[in-house]
Parts: sequence; structure tokens; C-alpha cells
Amino acid sequence: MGMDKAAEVRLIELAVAGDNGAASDLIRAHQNSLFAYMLRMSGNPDIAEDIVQDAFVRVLLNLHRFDPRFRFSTWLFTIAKRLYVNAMQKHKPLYDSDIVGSRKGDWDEPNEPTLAKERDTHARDAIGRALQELSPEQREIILLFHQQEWPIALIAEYTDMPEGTVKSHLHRGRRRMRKYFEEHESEEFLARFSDEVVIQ
Amino acid sequence: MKPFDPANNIGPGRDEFGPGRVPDDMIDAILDGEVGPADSKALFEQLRSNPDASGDLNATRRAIGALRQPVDTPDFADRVLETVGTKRGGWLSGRDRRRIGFGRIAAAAAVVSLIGGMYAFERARPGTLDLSERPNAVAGLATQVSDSSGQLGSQLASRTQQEVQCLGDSAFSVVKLFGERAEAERGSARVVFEWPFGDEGEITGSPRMIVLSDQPVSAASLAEQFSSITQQAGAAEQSLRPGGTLERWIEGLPKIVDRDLIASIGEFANSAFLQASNRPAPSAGVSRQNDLGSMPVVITLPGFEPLDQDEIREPE
Repeated sequence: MGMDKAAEVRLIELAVAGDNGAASDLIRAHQNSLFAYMLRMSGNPDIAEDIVQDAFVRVLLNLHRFDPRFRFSTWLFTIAKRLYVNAMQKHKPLYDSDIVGSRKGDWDEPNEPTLAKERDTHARDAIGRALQELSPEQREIILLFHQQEWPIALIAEYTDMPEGTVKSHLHRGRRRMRKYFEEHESEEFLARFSDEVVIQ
Repeated sequence: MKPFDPANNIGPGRDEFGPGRVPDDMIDAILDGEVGPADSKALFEQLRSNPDASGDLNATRRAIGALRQPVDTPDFADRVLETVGTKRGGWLSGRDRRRIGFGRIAAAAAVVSLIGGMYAFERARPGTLDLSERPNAVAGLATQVSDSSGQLGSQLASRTQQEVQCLGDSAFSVVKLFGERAEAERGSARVVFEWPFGDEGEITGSPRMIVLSDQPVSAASLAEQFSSITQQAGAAEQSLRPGGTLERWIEGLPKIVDRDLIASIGEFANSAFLQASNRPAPSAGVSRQNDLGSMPVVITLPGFEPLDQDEIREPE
């Protein structure tokens, strides 16, 4: 969501002062990106939901400690990551394709034909399965870079890795994903997700 | 061609296969968004003549595109706010914050009126408010004002009500507060919290507290009573409606009140006195006996037993 820094800081100040409307706006400004990230990281929507909710609760309870010189989203994701690590120690990171696949995005129309819905479900399952083929570091960095569109420098700071290491994980992860799709999915399937110019 | 090994990177670079091959580094650079316009033109020319490399690039781009597909996100706001509200004691709506802002003005005006009334009363009847025989309580944060004559209470109530009526409905609770003071039973009390607000109505700090009664209390008793009050969350919203009383509002206070807040009362009261008297506090009215190093406003809480004289100490 495109919220500028000043507006976000203002929301945070109001939320610290006890304004529930501002706190709601702050949550809604970040919930989509955090949930999408946690859903792909965990492969399980129930775990993702628990983590996201807990992360927001912890953030709001400690909002007065937030330093506005830093990015709020980085702080939020850092707290969520700690919760994710804890959750993964309790749950085996098994991709729950039935549930994840049933979560529809905005691109699903209510009256879409059943066959198309099944293809969408299959597509989401495949994305999740491909991500689970990656190491946790590769998955995290791939998602931060390509899903969250964080710059390499920020990812390096967030993961506490040198930029070169971040790039290495990114490149290897991308290749593993591509290989997975090549081996398991058809060109027709991949073409559904192409929103960029394809070189022929 | 060597097989692709995802566990060990991609294996040999494409440049190992001779002229015309596109290095993996270049494909990575494209996908990383690090290829400038000049380089990209030459690179894309190269890719067009290299089906393998362009195929890899396209396949990877499609895989990346898949990551960006939206997911159906539940709304977390309500449940998160509910949880946070439970843990920390509640939230304030914008309306509530504005109402508290009005309440703050009303409370401040009422206190100014109270002090002014005391000052005027003292000038009219010198010695009536002589506090010299009444020791300070609450470690110097609170002193007492005698209304044993029965006249001070009614005069202050009348004067204060007259002042705060100008503030409209938002001051109702304050009017009620001070209006009832004259009739209040001995040992009962009313408490006013004053919230510091910024230019745009936002709360900028912890609340200040003003407690009105006719009995001195100890700091320990205050702390205990506040702890009891602040554990009763949930009534704030209801009590902030027009006609709600400050007493009910205090019952629903979401904030933990500690002794630091009590300490700010003296400062606020000093300021109020200066506004009322327009004179330096140490040489004016009530401060003559009280020196305003402590409170010119009586402090106590509902249901308190008066302190034994032995418990009342001069401020250190």
C-alpha cells in the first residue's frame, strides 16, 4: 500500500496516543503484505494468521518504542519473523495445499467457471510447493525481493547478511524455482503468471 | 550439457558453451533490475539469438510473477485491537479524544476558578483559609483546604459552576463534580484528570490528576486506590457521553496512574494559581500559609479514612 512516511508516522503517533482508528488504519496498511509473506513462508494459512495477528498485537503494545527514523514495515516483519521461527519449531513446515489453494485472490471472480477455479487452485498449490523446495533463507529472500519488492540493501539489513550473500541466495533460489516449474508444470501454467514482456 | 543442480547453483555458466551464450550473471542482473537501458538493449539482442537463455529468463520471470499473485487476506484490525485493548486497557475513538480535550479545558478552568475563589475568599475573609495548622500530606504533594465553615464549599461550587457553564455540554461532568462538592459527605472525593493535548487534539502525555476532598490521605493510600480504579476498565466510553460523570470516567480509566502523575498536580496547581491571582505564587493569597510548594487543592479519594496525625508528615 502506498502510504508515505509522514502519514505513517502520524498514524503511529495517534495510535500511541490511544486512537483506535489510527491503529486500524496502520494494521490495514500492512496486513496484506505481511499475511501474503507469512502465508508463503509458512505454507499454512492458519499459522500465517496466528503469526500476523500476534505480530500486530506485539507491535501495537510496543508502539511507543518505535523509532520513526526506521521503517515501520521492517520492524513489523522482524517481529513476525521471530514469531515465525518460534512457530516453525513447534510445527513441521508442511505446505497445506488444500487450504492455501482455497484462498482466493482478487483475480478470482465470483462467477468464474469451475474449471478455471480449479486451475487457479492448482496454480497456488504449485507456487507454494515450489517455495517449499527452497531453503528457508532462499524462500525468505525471494519473497522479500520479488513479492515485497524490498531492495537488496534493506534485505541485507533485515536478514543481517552481506549483500553478496543475499544476492547469492536470491539467484540460487530463483533457479531452483524455475527448475521446479520446468519439471512439474507446463508452459501454459507458467504463462498465466507472466505480467512482463516475454522475449521470443 | 551438464545437468542443472539446484543444490549447487546452476553449474557451469553459459559462457562456457562458447560464443553467443548469455552468462547467468547477466540474466540475474536483468532479474535483479540492475541492467541499465544501454546494456539491456545489447543484452536483449543477444537473448533473441539464444533460445535457451531467453527461455530460462522467461520461465524465471513467470515464476516470479506467480509470487506476486494476491492472496485473500483476512481483516486483522478488529481482532488485534480487541486483544490489545484487553491487554492494555482500551482505546479511545477520535470522538472520545475530542471529548477528553473539552473535559481537559473544563477541568483546567474549574481548577482555576477554584483557586481564584479561594484567593478571593481569603481576601474577603482573611484567615479563613489559614492552613498553617494543617500539616501537608502525601509527602508534600497534597495539602488540605478547610471547608469546615461550610461556606467555602458552596461558594466555590457556585463560582465554579458559573465559570464552566460557559464551556457547554462538554463541561457537564465538571459542573456536576464541583456542584456536588458542597453537598459531598465528609470523606468522599472527586477526581479530575487533565490530559495534555497537542495542537491537533492528540494526547501528548500522561494525565495530570486533581483530587478534591476535605480529608488528607497518604501517598500509599492514593496508590492503592488508583490501582483499584485503573483495574476497572471498560466504562470509559460510556462515561464520556454527554451527561456522563467524571466519576464514571475515572472508573474506566485505561491508564495506570502512578505517583509520578500525582507529583505533577502540584505543578499544575501552581500554574492555575498564578493564572487566577496574576501574582507570583509565594506572595499571594492561599500561598501565604501554604507556599505552594505543595498543593493548594485538597486531595483525597472516596471512602478513605482520614489520616492519623502521626501519619502526616511534612515534605522532605
